[in-house]
Amino acid sequence: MAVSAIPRPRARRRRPPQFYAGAAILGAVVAVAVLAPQLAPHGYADQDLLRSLQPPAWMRGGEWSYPLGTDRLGRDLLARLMFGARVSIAVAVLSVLIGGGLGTGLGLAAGYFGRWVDRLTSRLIDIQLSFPPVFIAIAIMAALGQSLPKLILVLAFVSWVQYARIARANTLAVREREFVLAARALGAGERRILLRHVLPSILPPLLVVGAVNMSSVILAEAALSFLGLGVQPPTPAWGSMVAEGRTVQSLAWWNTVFPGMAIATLVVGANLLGDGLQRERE
Amino acid sequence: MIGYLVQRLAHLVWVLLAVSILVFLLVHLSGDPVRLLTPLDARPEDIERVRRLYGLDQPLPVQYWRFLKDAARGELGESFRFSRPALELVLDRLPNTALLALTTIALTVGVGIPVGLWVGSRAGSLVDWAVSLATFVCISLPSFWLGVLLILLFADRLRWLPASGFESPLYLVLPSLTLAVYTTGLITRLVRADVLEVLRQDFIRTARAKGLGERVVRSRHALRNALISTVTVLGLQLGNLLGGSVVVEAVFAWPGVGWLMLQGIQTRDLPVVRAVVLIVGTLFVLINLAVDLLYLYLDPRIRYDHGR
Amino acid sequence: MGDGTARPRLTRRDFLKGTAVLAGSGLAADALRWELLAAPGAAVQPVGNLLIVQGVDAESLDPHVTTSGASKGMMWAMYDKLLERGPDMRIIPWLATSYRVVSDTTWEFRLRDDVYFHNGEKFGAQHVRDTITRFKSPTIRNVYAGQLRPVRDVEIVNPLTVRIHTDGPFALLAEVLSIYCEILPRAITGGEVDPTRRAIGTGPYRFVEWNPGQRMVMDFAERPHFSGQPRVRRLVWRPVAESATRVVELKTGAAHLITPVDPIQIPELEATRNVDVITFRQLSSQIVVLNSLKVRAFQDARVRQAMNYATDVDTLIRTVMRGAAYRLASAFGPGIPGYDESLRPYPYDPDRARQLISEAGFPNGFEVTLVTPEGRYLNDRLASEAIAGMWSRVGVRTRVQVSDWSPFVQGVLGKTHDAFFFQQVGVLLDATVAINFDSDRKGAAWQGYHNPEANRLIQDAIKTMDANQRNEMYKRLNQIIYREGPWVFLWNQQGVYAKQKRVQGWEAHTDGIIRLGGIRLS
Repeated sequence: MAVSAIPRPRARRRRPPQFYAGAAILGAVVAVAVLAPQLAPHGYADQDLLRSLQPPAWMRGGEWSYPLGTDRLGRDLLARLMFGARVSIAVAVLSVLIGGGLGTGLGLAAGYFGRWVDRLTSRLIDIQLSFPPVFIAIAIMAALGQSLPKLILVLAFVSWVQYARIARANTLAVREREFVLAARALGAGERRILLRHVLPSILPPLLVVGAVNMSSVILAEAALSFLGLGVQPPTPAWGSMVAEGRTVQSLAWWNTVFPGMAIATLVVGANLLGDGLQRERE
Repeated sequence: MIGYLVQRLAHLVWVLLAVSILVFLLVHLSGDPVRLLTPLDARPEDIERVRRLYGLDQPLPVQYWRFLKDAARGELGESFRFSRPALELVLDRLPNTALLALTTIALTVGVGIPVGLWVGSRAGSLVDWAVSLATFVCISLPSFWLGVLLILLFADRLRWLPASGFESPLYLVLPSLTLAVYTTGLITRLVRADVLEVLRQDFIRTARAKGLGERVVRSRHALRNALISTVTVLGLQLGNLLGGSVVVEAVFAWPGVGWLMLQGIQTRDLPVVRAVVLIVGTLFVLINLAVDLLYLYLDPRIRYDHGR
Repeated sequence: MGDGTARPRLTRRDFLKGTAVLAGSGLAADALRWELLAAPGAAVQPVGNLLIVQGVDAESLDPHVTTSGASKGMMWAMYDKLLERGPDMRIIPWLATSYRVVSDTTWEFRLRDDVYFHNGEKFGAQHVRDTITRFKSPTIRNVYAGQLRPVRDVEIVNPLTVRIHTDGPFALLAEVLSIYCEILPRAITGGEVDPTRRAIGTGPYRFVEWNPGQRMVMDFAERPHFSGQPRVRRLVWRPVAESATRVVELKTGAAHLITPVDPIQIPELEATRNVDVITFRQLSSQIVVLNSLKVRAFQDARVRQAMNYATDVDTLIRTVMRGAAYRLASAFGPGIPGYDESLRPYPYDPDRARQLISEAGFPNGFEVTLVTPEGRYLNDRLASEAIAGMWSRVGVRTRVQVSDWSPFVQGVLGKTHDAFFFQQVGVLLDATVAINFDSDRKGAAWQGYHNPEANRLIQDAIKTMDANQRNEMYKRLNQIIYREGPWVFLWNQQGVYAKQKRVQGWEAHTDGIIRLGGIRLS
């Protein structure tokens, strides 16, 4: 890790390189997701059954109009990967926001108000912590059936606990600190104290949790899609593309390999970002 | 201390009750198990008769009450799918899952700790940089994809290793490798960070000042302290592996509880899902408790008596 | 079995010779076309372990509770029925050597002598009676109990003859007994042995152990079976859900026989040394059912015909199915009563489809959701997505909805899907299948189709004891269905097995259920 030796005024705000690398990767994937309709050489559902399992352009039998080759229905793999980024990004961002919001809110309330709010929240946290999150997500998705909004909610639901724990613990620590006591003495309302004084002071560690959580949400979404518990086809998701590719794994490796690489890249991005944020706090 | 234990165990009962209700509702909301069990060309009157035989014609609260009564006697019902006691099915597969989990942990410990210690004491070197990058990739790979690639390479192309099932120890290689990649990456990073942290601390400096050899310093002091957080994370990972390796078990058709649950969910085999969830939940809680206790033992500064 | 055994070893050839000519509906011994055993009469010791890998495991060890084809294959290695079916589905003698229709409501079955259960019980009339009683018992989770509902009484004429009396004419008794009702020993019907824990049959292999979801193990039965002595010492059945993994299991040499095989993998398997691919035309029809209760446009036969014209089945078969399917002209293919080879499939004609839809009053087309399960039928989702694309091209804007099996079935039964990708099994073209076209009885897959003549044909056929006459009635039904298109007719799937070359003496049956026959390892 590079340590800047020259004490400049802005040096303190300088972030570790991991942060920038992660942000660059995530930014690139978001850009691809947003611009997919413009960038993709074909529609993600355009079939050409006569081109089924065409290899990538650089291999024999490939052509540049289908750069990464085609799937079983002759759909362009690159286009499907680009549109697939939308599912991963939507799930990653939205479920982190929803889960983070929910968890922070509950943790904040539990830590600040104590009593039954705390008891109830703590019990909920304990129940949820008694099970591996992927386990719960699979059970719920299988029960509810596949769709993008459900997927987002389920993943938000399994991740709120991590935020709630940290928020609760930090609120407990902050509750009796001078600035909170001072605000209360000055007659500020509970709501104002919570939102203006407590929340900002507990937010930084939660951002780290959010970044770390994002990588596990992406992996969980991919795993659910792989098991056929993700979004409705023909909407492509990288996880379900790996599952489809698996049925032709020995004939057309590109169907399995590329979507997996896409997932790994995005997760590396999220992990780098989280790592950077963490180091910055240290 | 005893009070703490009793409290945690009593708590477990509440957790399991709450979860059993959740499972009950989820599985029932998600579809009619009898319709899944019966072929489409079966006659309606036969289907209704079978529904009665499974007790699925009763209202949900009645079914749940029956389940509680049976569960209190240690009976978790009979699998719809396999006409066998659900508990028997779960206990039958638990050793397989445990074996996979423990093999994975063994691989993780065997590789992750030495490598972590090694690079931790060489922070900033080229080796450290390379290992850091590798571990980053390790924790970012989707396990199911890795599993599929390993099957493609070692079973399909090279034909060195079996692809699925569990017939001999050889079958253990690919699934445990798949799972170990993530945990090893995690542990290596953790150990490295702990070593760095510990080496920075005062008592190591003191030990060095006392003239103790570098080797002694590293092994005795650094290792012991690094161990504390490593043990915690390993414990949590073990819990995750016991319940959470569903996807990898499915990829390798590994006859464990995770795969059993997945099949149970797909066929709405309520008793099996319930039994898996209850048993995995119990194990998960107990392992976490054991980790807490171990933590206590390793670091006497922590006490649990004042609640959490 | 020891060398000193005095009992003569039966071979399949002896079995053929010994088979009495059957009375009744055109049964003949030549229906047995199995490969004959090498060196008949020679004392061969069963050798080797044979691993069969299928997609799913048995649902139970109780043969009357199992329903899937995969589990029936396992059960029939250990249990026998009164009648069996040859590879082409013709009924052949099995535990019953012959039968005849005595009157409209009475059938007589002659039973095979010198057959023993694995626990030593000698098979006889009493077993038939007890087994049928158990099959119909309301306390067994047997979803097919209704198949024998018309059976009123089983009369024991002598230890090797039974008469089965039915309520009213029941033309399909022999067909039913060739599919259902495995004969059980007294140990099971008497409640002494729990059939979900231990299997005791008269079959060529005897039960060793079952680990649900993992493996079932059987050893050859010491007493030679009447259809020929088993040639394999131990059979192991394993379920592997992934098609690609099954193929790897075969290629690595772990498995000896695998099914089903995804057609896309056939070229790869054919290129593999020591591996054979076996294909056959399956009986079950792959179709899209159109729901005219839900979609108004489908009430018009012209629109239903248009859907058939709009579906390029030949291209689907060539691409999605990789050639591994046989085009259907109408509801059923060969091997099913009522099959009519003179019917020609609807050609792919999108212009004609557009025109018909327009004539029916939908010049701007309409919207439809095509519901499909995933992984239930071969390439179900892929085919549905391709079909949706084709329909959209003629103005029927189609969205594919992939559904989990349970809600899928609920939608079929509740008649709430607009249209769904479906497979209809039709060995028994009786009440269980044909009522899907019967608007009086509204079978499970009936979705609003109405034609009084079809109703009448379906209800009369089951009471018609004469097989030829019955066949003509089903043929007439088939022609009506062809013309009015309540379904989009797709294909008979190609059943695909792959086996190691050293597995010999085995033949595929068109219902896709494994009968081991003279299977052996060379």
